[in-house]
Amino acid sequence: MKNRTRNHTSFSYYWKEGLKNIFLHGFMSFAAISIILACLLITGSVALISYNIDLKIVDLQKQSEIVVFLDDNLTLDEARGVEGKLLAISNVATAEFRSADEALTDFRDSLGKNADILEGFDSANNPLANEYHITLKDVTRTAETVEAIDKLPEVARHRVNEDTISMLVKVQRVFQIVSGALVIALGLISIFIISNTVKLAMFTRRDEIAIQKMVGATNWFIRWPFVIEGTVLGLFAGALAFFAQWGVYSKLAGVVGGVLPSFDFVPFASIRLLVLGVFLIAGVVVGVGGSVLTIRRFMDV
Amino acid sequence: MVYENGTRAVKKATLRIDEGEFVFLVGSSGSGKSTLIKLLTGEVRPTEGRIVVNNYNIGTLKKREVPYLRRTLGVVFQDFRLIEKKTVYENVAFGMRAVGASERAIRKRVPYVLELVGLTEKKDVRPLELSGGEQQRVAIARALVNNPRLIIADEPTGNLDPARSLELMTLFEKINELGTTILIVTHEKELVDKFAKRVIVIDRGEIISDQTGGYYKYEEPDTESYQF
Repeated sequence: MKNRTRNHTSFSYYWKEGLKNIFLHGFMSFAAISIILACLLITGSVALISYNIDLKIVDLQKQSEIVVFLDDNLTLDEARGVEGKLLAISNVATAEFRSADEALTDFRDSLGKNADILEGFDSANNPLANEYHITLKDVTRTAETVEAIDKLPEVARHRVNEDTISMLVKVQRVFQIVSGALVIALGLISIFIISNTVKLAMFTRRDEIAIQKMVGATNWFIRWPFVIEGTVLGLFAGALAFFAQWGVYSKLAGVVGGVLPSFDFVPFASIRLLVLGVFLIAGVVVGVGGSVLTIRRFMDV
Repeated sequence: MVYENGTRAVKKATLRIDEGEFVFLVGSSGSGKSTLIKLLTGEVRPTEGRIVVNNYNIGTLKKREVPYLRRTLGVVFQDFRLIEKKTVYENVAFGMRAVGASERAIRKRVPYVLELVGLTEKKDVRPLELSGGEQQRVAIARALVNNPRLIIADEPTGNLDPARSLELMTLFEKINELGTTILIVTHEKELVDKFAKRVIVIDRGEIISDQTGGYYKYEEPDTESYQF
């Protein structure tokens, strides 16, 4: 007859054991938290810097607008009517109309005290054309969009700095590859360091695990306290890393802002929930994953 | 039983131990004693032959069933294998907790077992504050706490002086009288002689003698390592 003892173990026991183990093996808990925190902070900092640079590149791309000049023969109403046609082109994000008169006024303003060279020009003999300032959804598709714009009969000509746009696209691609590789490499190094720390922690408890196995504990009975311990340590490390990241980010934003005033970092407040969520999840995944995967080695007795 | 590296550790080992028996398993280093213990506890599987322990067929036992086999056994080791950071009480209770016993059952059973092994007074002490004999009694209490049908003791007196060894064997005898089957692996001839029990001799993986009443076939060793 197979004697299967009824299992009275409640989750509160696993919680108690998991939490007790954190304090019982205080040094290893401290080491695990420190390593997870350091890895999250380093990887997080690189990712956030990359994120800001990427946003900056996207901003620059957005500022690289296409100026479309309309046919001089169009009336003001006809010129305004072209907006719908421009927006119908799939890659056009915005199309801002500026009438020839507004262009002349702006031009005059920009000349300042030299504005007198435009004396004699007014609505009747305005040399400037009605124009649209167009921004694109995807700057890599500039050429095809320009081609579509040029097909409109109302369009006389366009002005676009394709070299700048193409340079920005290249910079963004290279940067995304480099920063992505850096984050992945840091992530892998972190996993390696964390898994070794967890292995060390497990090694000190191999006898305990062997005894549990010998008296008939099931694998999950042994695992649960480790899962809880990993979860708590991971959450704790993730939360600490979040606050450390906050401090580092603010400091970095201040330093960069001082050196490059035009390079303003995204305020931390706008990304804090995302950072907190990612850090907590990463902490738990690393804490629990590291424990459960490593413990398998010691279970085979 | 053949290990992955090709070592044939136990062969021609046919034996039956009935419920309530007290058996000594003796043999020199490398004779196959440890492999036999590992086979009985499900730590290794037989490559051929059939082993049944407490109605569990070790050869066909699924991995997930091994814990349930082990709950019917109590294992005592030469090096005690106690958790240093836990008290005597906690070490014994640990054996019950590991199989999911309720706190109520633990509170009822652990004091009884500690009394049986004579350690009631030391329940709050940690293992390193105890003598070797006392530590081994804690290990026996832990092995006993789940009321196993069979206790396997692997060189339980290996780290003890003769007086403590005798005390421990007397304790095993007492446990046996309460109905638990006892299998003691040892190479201490004096102890085996002292207790007139069934003695199984294993040599080079083969059972060469199996006799009751403390008698056993003893052959002169042909190598220096044969010490029994």
